[in-house]
Amino acid sequence: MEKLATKSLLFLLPIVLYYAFPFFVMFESGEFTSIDTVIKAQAGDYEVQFGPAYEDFESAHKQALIAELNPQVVIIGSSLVNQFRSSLFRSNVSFVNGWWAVPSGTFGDIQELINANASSSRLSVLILGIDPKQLDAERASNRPDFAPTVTQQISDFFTINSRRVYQDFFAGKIVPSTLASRAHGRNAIGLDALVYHDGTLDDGSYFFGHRINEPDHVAKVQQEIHAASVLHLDLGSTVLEKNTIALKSLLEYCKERGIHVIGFTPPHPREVFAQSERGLHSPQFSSYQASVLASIFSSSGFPFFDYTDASSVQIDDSEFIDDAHTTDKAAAKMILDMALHDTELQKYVSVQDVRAILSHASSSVILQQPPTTPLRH
Amino acid sequence: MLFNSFSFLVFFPAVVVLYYLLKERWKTALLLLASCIFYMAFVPKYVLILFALITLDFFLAQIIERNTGRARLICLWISIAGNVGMLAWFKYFNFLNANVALLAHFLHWNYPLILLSFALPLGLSFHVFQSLSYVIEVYRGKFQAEKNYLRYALYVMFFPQLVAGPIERPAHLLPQFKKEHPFVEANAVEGLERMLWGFFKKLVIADNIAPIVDHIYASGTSDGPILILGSILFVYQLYCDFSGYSDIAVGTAKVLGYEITENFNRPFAARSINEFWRRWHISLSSWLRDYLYYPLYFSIKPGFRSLLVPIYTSTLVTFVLIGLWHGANWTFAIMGALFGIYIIIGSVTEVWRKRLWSWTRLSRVPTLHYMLQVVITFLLATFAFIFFRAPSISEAWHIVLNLGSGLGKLLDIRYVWHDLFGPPALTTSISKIAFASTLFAIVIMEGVQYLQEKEKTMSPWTTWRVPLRTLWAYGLIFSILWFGNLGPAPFIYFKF
Repeated sequence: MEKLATKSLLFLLPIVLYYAFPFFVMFESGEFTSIDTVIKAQAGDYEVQFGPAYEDFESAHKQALIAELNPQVVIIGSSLVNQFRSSLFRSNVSFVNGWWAVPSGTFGDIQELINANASSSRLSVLILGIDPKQLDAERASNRPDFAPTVTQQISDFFTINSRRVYQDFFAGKIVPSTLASRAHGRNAIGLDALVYHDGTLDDGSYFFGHRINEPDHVAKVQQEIHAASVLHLDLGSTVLEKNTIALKSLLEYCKERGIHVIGFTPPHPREVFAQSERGLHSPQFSSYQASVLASIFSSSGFPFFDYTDASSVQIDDSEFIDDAHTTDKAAAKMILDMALHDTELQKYVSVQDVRAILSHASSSVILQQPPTTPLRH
Repeated sequence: MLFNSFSFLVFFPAVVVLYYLLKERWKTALLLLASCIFYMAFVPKYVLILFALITLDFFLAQIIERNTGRARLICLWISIAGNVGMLAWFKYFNFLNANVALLAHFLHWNYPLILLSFALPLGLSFHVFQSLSYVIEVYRGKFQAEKNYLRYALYVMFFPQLVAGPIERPAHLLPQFKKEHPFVEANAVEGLERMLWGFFKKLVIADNIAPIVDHIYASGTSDGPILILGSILFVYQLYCDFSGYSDIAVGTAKVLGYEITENFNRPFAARSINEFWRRWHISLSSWLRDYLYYPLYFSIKPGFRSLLVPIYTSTLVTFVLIGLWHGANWTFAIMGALFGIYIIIGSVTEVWRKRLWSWTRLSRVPTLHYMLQVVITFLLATFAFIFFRAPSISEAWHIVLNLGSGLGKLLDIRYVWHDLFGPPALTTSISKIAFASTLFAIVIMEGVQYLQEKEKTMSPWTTWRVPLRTLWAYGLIFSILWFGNLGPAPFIYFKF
């Protein structure tokens, strides 16, 4: 029996060695860190960026962040709203960017999320970034709204993720010095945060370090926008009644709880929007949808802003990160516009401060550098 | 529980270790418990259906054995009615009801269509056939009824072949549960190697082909070469998926010291459709031969047996039922009927074909003759399997009508590179390198199958020297880790 055990162990040795490297990389980069630990780290004194490369913690992380920080202002929406940062709000205001906190995107699920945190909630302002499809389709996203379990993570490690680590290694993404930088205290959890500075900041907003740090990123974005503008974008074509009913119910619910709701539609790049207006992408749907939304918000007594046309808030195509997502500078322009037209929001946003932030922005983005915080020892 | 899941990776070693640590008298109970856990990983409550059938057949077989005359026959029919009734309820009720409603509508009758909504218990067709073979064998007096309930339950529920066969016969499997099974290193190693081979076929070939086939079938394309590519790839997907499952099943049982029936024997080397079905899903075709075709044939009065019409009718009925066994849809019935018609035409034209071979002198070049027969058989099977894959008759018909369109484009290298090896045929998630590596894996599989047939063993590597054998095992493991589609894709035959 001993001989058999020795033979088995010898046979398994190369396989153990095969897994050792991915395990080391994932362990060292913080990929195995639990959401609780991430939230605790992000609630600490220094900015911590959370950017796992191999598992999708987005929704679970946002939900936990909202529950933990109990913010006064929350923004909910898809990734199109992920650049709204706490720095755009007054310093004494607690803000969480809850993009993807509700992966299904349905208004009923948004209501459930608010209700789940209702008992001790101090939520005062809910900003809803409404996607073009949100009124149209049964918007069932495939993204999980819960964190992968430990079993799932172990399973993924042995099957898919170990292979992806090797692929990333051979693609040059993983180098020992980057792993060592975390070992020496850089406040990044997850390989994407560590290597690319891609990931979620303490306030839930996303930082596209990889994109911004590309030397020719503006030119690349222009190319992407041009490519997207000639594709057929399925923005939807109808407004489903059940979605409008759910939205009305959500607004009523918020009104009862004294939560001020601000609705808006995130912008398309100007070139994409122009093509849409010419009839290439679901002609007139965006403007029709905006008129429906405006009417619903107005009848509930809440403001609504249609930014589908980026030029309405002076957002240029250069202020996009890619063919769909805006930079934080564009987000600042939208917040400024909202605050100028909504006195309730002015309690939480200083128009002067946002103007100052915008005037000091040296390029298409406000936050050009990844979190540069003191090393954590 | 899926074989290709992380749960199984934990479950199986745990069962094996416990199995060999336990005393012999506890092993049946352990395997039965393990089988229940394995099955309940899908829909837990469906294990009750399984136990209801097991209990019914267990006691009916005892009664059949103890009695003579009419009581035996009644018990047999109760068992058949119970098993087939369960299958009909879960698998065919909606299909039959929808067709009756269609007929009623045609005849202007008022027939309210009621469709039941529940999931088909996994592998029900397999359990039912395995249970029926036991009761029939006891009825025929060829097998003594099992007196130990747990042992009989394990015969139906043995987890390696629980959800997708092979369909075992009592005389082959049940006696093995009565024997002692000490740990034999050679068996364990051979079993593990066989499992690896099955995983390679499933994960590296079948699951990498699946998105391409899905993409082509969903595209609604009328491009002949792309449809031909999709149809051929589907046959390989189906084969590697199902035979991969069977390899894992055989290997799993072997590690535990059991031999279960081989279900495939290099079917794409068959020279006729008749031979194809002796090599493809052997346990099903032999089951239907023994329990349906022969009874049908011998029910013909001896004086009429030399007539061809009754034989052909039996053949056609058997193959249509083979088709319908796969699923409650007319597409499956057509697939079965096509195979039946192939065999009938093959039989009718046998003399003429022999004359043709002799007249063309092809029979003097046996290799060319053999290859021609193999290719024709493969293409005929591929054509029939279009009806297996297509979700409806109209979609199958669309493919059939367009198979020949645009074949001339194959001479254009740009078309082959950009269309056949590009997005029209491949999904955007499949790179040309991934597709090429899958094709290479198919070549390796064909090579191994050639060795399997030549050396008359399903595990030809057992005769290799240790370094080569070890290298082969590592080759399979790292091919799976690197090229396998490791998502949780269920086996195609689970739904049957």
